Amino acid sequence: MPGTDEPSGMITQVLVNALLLSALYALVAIGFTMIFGIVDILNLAHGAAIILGGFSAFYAVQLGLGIWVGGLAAILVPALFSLLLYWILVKPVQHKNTMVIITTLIVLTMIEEAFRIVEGTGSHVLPSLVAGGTTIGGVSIQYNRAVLFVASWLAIGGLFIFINRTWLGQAIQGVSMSTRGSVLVGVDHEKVVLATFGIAGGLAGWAGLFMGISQGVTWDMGLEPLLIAFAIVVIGGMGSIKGSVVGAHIIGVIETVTTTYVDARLTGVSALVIMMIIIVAMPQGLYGQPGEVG
Amino acid sequence: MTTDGSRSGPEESGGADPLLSVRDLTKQFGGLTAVEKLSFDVYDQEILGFIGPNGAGKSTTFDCVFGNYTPTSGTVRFRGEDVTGLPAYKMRQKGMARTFQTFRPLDDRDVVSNVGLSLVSDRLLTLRGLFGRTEEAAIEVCRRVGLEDDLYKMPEELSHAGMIRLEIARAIATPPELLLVDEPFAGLSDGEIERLSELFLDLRDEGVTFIVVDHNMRGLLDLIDRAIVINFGELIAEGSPAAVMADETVQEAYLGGEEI
Amino acid sequence: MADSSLVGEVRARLSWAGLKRAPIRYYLAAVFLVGLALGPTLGGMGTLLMLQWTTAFFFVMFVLSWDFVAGYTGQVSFGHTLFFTAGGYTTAALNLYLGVDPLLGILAGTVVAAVSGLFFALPALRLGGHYLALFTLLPPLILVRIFVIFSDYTGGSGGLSNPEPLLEAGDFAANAQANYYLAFALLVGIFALLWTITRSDTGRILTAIRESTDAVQSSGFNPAKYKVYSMVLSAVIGGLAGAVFVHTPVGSASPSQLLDLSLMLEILLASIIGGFGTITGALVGGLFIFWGLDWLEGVEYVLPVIQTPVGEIATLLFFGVLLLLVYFLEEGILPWSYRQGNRVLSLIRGGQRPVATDGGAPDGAGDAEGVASHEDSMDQGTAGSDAGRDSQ
Repeated sequence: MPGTDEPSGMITQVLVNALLLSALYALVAIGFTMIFGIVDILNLAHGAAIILGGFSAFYAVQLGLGIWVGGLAAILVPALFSLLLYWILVKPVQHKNTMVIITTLIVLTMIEEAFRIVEGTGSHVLPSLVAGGTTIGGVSIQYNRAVLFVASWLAIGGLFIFINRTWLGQAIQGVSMSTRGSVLVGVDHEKVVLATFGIAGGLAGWAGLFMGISQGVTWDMGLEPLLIAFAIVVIGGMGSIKGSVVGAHIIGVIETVTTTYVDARLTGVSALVIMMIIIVAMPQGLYGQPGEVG
Repeated sequence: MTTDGSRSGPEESGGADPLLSVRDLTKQFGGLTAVEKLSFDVYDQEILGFIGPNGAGKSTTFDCVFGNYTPTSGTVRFRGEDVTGLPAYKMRQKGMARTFQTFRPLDDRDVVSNVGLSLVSDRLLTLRGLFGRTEEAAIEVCRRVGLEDDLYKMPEELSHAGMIRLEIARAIATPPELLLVDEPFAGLSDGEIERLSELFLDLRDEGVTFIVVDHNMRGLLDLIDRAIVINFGELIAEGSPAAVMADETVQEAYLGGEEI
Repeated sequence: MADSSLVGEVRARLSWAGLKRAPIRYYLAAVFLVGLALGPTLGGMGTLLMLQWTTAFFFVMFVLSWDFVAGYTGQVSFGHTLFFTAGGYTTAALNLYLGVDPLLGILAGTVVAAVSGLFFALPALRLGGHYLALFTLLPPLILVRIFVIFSDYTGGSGGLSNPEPLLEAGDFAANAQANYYLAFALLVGIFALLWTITRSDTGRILTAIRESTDAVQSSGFNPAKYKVYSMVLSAVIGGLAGAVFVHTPVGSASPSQLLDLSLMLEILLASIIGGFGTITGALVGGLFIFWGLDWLEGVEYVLPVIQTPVGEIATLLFFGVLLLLVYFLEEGILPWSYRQGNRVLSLIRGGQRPVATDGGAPDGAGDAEGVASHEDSMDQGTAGSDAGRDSQ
């Protein structure tokens, strides 16, 4: 709560918290925006990837495989899930927006429901990747969160390199801009879309892992980050990865400030309100393409 | 077309007030000027040909006149009333109808229903249409334009000529005062062109004023009373079809290989 | 005046010859309607069943409200729960805190709902597709959180306690019956209104808006007028239903009954499964969803491998079934069953029965049901400048 005797230390702490939170949000938002950029759909089941990531890690730990194996599972299982989701359910209806939203919404609901039935409504905290913490300049940082932060940025940085330097990454960009054009130069559309879904799923699953470590995994852990990802993507511009990173930080800061200084229960509300305003005032966001609004 | 070559044409131009009056119409898209200070009149019950090579600005001109775009500057007067910049539906309500070169039918319903839309009442709550009379009226209009064999086809099943007829049917279902037909003869056989021309002449006798837009004057020669030629967004010739065809500026405009 | 011959038309339809020409499904519908009307009094319907049907009726009203605007004009909102909440919470709060009479409260609730309808309608003029979906998705989500934060005033996740009932009829059973008829009458009224609008000339304009606002403009109609009208009317209907709902024994002003995303999902599914963009489909789909889930929850059969009774995982199973239905019966149950019905009929009658292009029976009654075999309504909204997108 506000009112500490070290205001500058407090602010730094808030900023650090915001940075850590932003990194987490960015992971979810990037995957979501990539999917939108490439096949022009709102994949609501992206939230399910988060849940699957968290619980995969949880089960790995339960089976005695340790949290690092859990981390691997948290990437692979949701990636596979996303691939299959596209392949089986989304591809046939991908040109009908309403259908895709409904289908993915049902999948999200079913997965939530399944975990709720099997695991109940409680939350299970995952063990930390690295235990302990330290204090730097009056700001306390747990090693764990530092690892998460570094890992997130590694993932984001890795993605940037991938998109800009590898063939597949360029192909993804190409298809994002023009499906027909890309096909004409020999890009295998299918493969690119599948890769995108897989990457998005993996990133989201990783976010689930991090959430599981800091807050615990529960059956409904997917909806809130998904909504925040919406907000970020709208602010940053649908289809823009850079926009997602920038938007994630904007939202991360606003979130942290609101929950720390105003009311902790307002978590998520500020992001949603901002999203509504942006949709009406500047729908294409910061880096999106104007004229795509309709 | 009557056998002696004469037609029931308009009043001598210059005497009566024009039905449509366009003054200094200008349309710019960013740095590009598509239409530059264009001025012309259209008189009651005449058939005016509006001609120019592709890209001359014909479609843009009429998109501005009919409310699909807002002009950058200039005025449009219809029956003396300033209608510049009004939205397209208001223009239609005042009696200005048009067809589109890129056909825009409603793909989710058959021909009769497409025409039927133009006949419905503009009411938020009504019992009209519950008992099929809108459909009957629509069928009548379809017969008029020659669509009696295509009544229940979907637009995607229509031939090219059929699509043109559908566009026209939708525009005349509620008889307009001024009708713009945009490239109506494109891709039609000579026989179809003649049938369509006769329909236009009949409609004109019933009181409709026509503007026929095309890039090829040859098909229009026998139909139009007067011609206006534009190029690069500017008017370059105006007068009787023969005079316009002989005009040097016009011939030069078409030197790029387009036929006059 | 044309209307006097409309009266003549109605007379002709209701005459003996006219009735004989009516398609079979009208008869089925009439039988069903009469059955529901007589159930509580003559049919010996039990009190519990009456209460369940009452709830079902309100659910169907919610679905009708959504299907009317989304299925017809293509303005697909994911936040219709905002309207129900506006209606229900307003009247409940007015009654509980200010002692306002339920009837006045319902009126107030409907007005608030109309305003919220404008709140969606105006952005909907500019936004389409994804953006409208997101924009409308948010207010209910924001409201839920706000309600929880200010739970002292709003009752939080449990909702407000029950306000005064609209009808009082003596003992519990009589009360249930009175409310049953209230809901039934309201449903029939709403259905009749929407049916009239959608089958009349207005309906043609509404569906045309979904297809192409350009075509609507060039026919001389103002698309904005109709879009706003349909959204606000939809909100009014939803708000009215929500407001009356909380004054009955089966409803209360709570998130789970008026605001939750799961309610929105159920409405979507009901409309889609029944036949998106057909008022009758909304009715059928709504009842199907309601009773289907209810039945499934009562099944005690224990599944072999996972050793759980079906009832406990009913929601999960149900959504799975719905997923399959949505997937395979793209156009919805009702249009699909029309075609099946027509096929059966033509077999019976020796194959000469003509089928109208919309899959329904041609009966000259201008049956423009707007069957959802069209390409998706939301595709109108996205990608205004098709820069490179191959959306043919």
